[in-house]
Amino acid sequence: MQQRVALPHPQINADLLKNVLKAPAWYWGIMAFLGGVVIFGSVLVAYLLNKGFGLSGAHRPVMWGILIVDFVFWIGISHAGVMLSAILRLSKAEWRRPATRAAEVLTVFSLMIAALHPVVHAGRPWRIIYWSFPYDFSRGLWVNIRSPLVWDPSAIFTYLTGSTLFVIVALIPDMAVIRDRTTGIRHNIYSVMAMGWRGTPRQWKLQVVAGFLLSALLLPVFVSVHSIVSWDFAVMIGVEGYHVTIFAPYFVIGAVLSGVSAVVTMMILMKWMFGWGNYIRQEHIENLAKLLVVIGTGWLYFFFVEFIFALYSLESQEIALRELQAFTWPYWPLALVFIFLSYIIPIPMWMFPGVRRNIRIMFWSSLVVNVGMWLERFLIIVPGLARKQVWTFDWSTYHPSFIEVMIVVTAYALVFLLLLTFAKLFPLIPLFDIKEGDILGDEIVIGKRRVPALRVEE
Amino acid sequence: MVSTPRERKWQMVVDADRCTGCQACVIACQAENNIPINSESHFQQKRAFTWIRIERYWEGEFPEVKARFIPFLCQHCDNAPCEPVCPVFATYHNNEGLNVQVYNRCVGTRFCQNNCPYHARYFNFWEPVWPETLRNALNPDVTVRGRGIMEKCTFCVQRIRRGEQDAKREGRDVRDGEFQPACAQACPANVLIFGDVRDPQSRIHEFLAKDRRFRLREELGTETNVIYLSKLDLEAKEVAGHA
Amino acid sequence: MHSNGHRPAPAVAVSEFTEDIVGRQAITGPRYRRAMVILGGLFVLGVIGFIVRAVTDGFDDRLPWGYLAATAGYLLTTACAAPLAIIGLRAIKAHWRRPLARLAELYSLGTVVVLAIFVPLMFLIPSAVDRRTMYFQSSGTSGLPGTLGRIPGAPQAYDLALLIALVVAAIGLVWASTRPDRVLLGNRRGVHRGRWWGSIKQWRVTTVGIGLIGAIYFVTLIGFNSMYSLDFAMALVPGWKDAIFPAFQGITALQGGLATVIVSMYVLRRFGKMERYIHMEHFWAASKPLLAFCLLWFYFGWSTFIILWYGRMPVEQNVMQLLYFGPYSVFFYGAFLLCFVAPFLTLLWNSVRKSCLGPTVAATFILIGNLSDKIRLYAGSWSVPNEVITDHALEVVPAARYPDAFDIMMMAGGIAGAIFIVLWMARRVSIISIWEMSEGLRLRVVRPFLRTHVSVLGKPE
Repeated sequence: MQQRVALPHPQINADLLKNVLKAPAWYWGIMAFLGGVVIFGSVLVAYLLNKGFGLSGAHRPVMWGILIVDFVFWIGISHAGVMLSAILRLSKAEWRRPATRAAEVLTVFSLMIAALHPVVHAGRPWRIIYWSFPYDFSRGLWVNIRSPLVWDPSAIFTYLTGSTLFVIVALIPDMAVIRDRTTGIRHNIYSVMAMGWRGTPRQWKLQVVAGFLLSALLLPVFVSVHSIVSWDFAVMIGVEGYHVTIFAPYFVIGAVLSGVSAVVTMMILMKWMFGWGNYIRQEHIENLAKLLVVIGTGWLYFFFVEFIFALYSLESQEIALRELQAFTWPYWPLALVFIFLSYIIPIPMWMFPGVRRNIRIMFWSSLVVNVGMWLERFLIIVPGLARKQVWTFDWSTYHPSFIEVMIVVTAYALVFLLLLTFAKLFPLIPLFDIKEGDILGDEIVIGKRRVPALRVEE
Repeated sequence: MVSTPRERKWQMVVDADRCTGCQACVIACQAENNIPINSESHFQQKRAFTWIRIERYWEGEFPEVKARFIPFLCQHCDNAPCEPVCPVFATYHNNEGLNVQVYNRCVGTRFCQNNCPYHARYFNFWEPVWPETLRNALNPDVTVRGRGIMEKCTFCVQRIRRGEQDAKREGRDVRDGEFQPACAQACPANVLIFGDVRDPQSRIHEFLAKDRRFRLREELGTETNVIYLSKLDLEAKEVAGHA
Repeated sequence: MHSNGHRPAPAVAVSEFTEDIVGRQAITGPRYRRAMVILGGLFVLGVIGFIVRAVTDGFDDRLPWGYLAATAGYLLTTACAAPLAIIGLRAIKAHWRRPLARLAELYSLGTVVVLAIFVPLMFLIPSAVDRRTMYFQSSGTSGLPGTLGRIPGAPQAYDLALLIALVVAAIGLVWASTRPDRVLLGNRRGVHRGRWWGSIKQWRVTTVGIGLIGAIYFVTLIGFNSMYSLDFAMALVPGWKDAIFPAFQGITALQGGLATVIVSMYVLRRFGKMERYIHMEHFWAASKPLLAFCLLWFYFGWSTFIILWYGRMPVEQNVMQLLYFGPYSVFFYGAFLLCFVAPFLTLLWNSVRKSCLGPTVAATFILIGNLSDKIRLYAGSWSVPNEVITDHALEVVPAARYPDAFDIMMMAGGIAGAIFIVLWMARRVSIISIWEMSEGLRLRVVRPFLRTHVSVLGKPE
């Protein structure tokens, strides 16, 4: 077991601000590569907007393709941040400290990218202003508040606003640290962003209260966001297999599974890229893995119930859909890969402490969970639409076009690009949180043993 | 708004027993409603527009198998699944029982198409183009739709409006059979009967009273305004219907 | 840190605590005897109610038994679910669970009462063939797709097997977690029995074992709740297809279990004179997850509601009438008010959460609301006659059947039975876990920090 090393505070500052104050050469290399991908993707999006949505692989009856799959996926990833930060903050879990900032930032960026998907996917994106931005009062053109597509932007933008505030509140003390260590124009910018932070007891108190309040307020929002995304599908009666009451919590817990896995992947990457071995320790990854075992098993319960209920209906349509999803080419290999990658391989593995403490295995196993979860969304969305139903006379398969695949790739590149940009501007591990953890750490002696302890307000 | 002297509710009866599958309705609809030309590649891409289409299905097991035809169009549900899911009210229900599509509002989310149990909606994946020779053949009463929006059968609402205006100008009520959708007009076998069910004298009542009537996917509670009359099969005494 | 001037509760020495509890164990107070007599009397009344019902109505019709089914559902989501809170808290190593652990775990023996109720109810459930159940089978004549062939004994046999497993897990949980205390109390009485003397290895086996049995109990209880809610409620109503319902019952179990713990904790503190060990902090800490569970109750319920409501399908509208706004609407509104609105609005305030009485009142709301909820679901679905059970849709919403005297006797008897077992066990082993508390007392010290005092909690890995 890697023990906590009590580092002097200047050392913490130097370590965690390393990338902010002076980025290494490889950083710019990666940025250039990701930037290239994003520019290429943007050109493709522009081409798509210019020519029309015919460039996608969508057709009757599969009207929603992998862009919507990717939308659901990124919304899912965005659930990690608040789930980790807020729940762990409220429950005062000590091991949250190095994970919170990364998770929150991942939330913000993945949410932004997710919100772009349905826009690109619409027939006339320029008209979407009707339904996601302030409404056209003057002409009395109201949006249809019965539509889940109106609930979606309101939930997503509430969540985006809340989680951005969450990040900012937690950034203020660190901004002040950077402010004091930079000169010139950067000093001025960070001065503004530090909002006059001096570290007085009153400021600390307000910062802590704001953090708690935002945690408590964001938790219901985070649940509502993915529930509403699930209702995009579940309110439909026209598609067999969508009209399922369990979709909301099933989507939420699936989102948490993929989101927390993404945080594990990201933390390990941070540890490798920036050499933060003293901050992201085995215990953090191990605790996240334990959490993932619980979440994954909860997810399996929902998955199982959802599947059982398709059979429960005793409707040949519904059963045939499950047959299509699980046993028919081209979906059966995907279904097999999905269930193996998102549950059967990683979760039992993580029950062994030896695996949980092996960073390399944790990296790959947390990564495959997300591959599996992406396929899960694909298998929910596409076969349901593709399968012929009574009296529809449509039956087709769906192949994403090159342009759709590239847009999905671009979305990944864009999230990484934004995260790396953030890493250049702000510390990805909260300095003050780490220091607070050091201050609150203590030790008590029981018999001949020294037990690590924690000073708590109780 | 045209003030109507009395409430109308348009319905259509489709007598499947009479349908020969000749596709005249399809062509008439295509011509009337400025529907883009469906090329072979449109069909291969599964992006063809067929506001009304004749669907062929098989009944029975080989060798006792029969080909059946059924004309298929927007069912103009009173309780339409496509309506509540549209975020911009591009599709809504008017007070004449028509499920109306407002092209200008549509942003192309395609949510309505996904939620339509009858798959009666069509999305403009491309900007529609007509050969130069057909430019002047477009119907001036019907909007030409651009790309990125949904469209579907309107029960030839332009004919309904024109008929209502004519009647109003002449200071009378609309007469039954005065106008009908292009498909009904073109049908040689009188499969499609269109009329106002609020008009007690309307011919449609004669057909609505038949016990062969059924609605598609009635279990969904969509309350369609297109009523089917099932196939009479003298040999098998089997009626088409709940497949 | 402590701007409100609040100082942490003073540390209690382990020996002092142990002597206190062991001393209490030796005497039986009059209050305890009175409680036992009342609870025992209620339980006997319940048995009488059951016999009368069996004699007058017999086992041919399901309708008169709906309230007994609701009682079993209620016990499954309150008493039997109380250990879930402790199992979860133990898994995350929360210190504040310690004084409540034993109390909550003893409630797991409520599964015995559920078993007693379940066995007669079992015979009222028709075979799973040709109707919607999770066993997915048809006789082949009905035209329904069914592929699994006949599963003998479905659905009752499998529910019974899982329930027996649950009872075994409950007994195992109580046995394992009381073992160190039983040895201690036995030693004090001069009885040296068994081979457990507290070596390091034995402790490790005990704690790992408790964790493992706890996990098994957790999974089995959620599993049985799922199966019970499916086979004994949803599958009895044609057209009711609601995938979230088993999970909803699971959430009511987490909520009801925690509420049971809170109310019992208050009783123990107030009438059991445990003010030294159960503080406001325990109520405060427990009230936060309780608030979350209230929101989750609403969330899971809403997930069902919005899908049924939005779809506007005729099949689902009748089911909604039965479950929400029809004959049993009183119980639905009761449940909605008492499981969500009232506790949510009270627990929202920190000043309410930060007291002993506030969370207790909210938990009491929940315990009443949960009963109302179970009546809505179980009595509602049991009022659907057998003739329509194989239909695909509920054509006629059956009229409500309100409880008569015997129903109330049976309900009271069942609930009293579960509490009776806990109190009876409390004389055999202490109601506060001596070993778990001692461990906690050793791991907590109060130390000065800057200008105040803080408690320092040891977190051994």
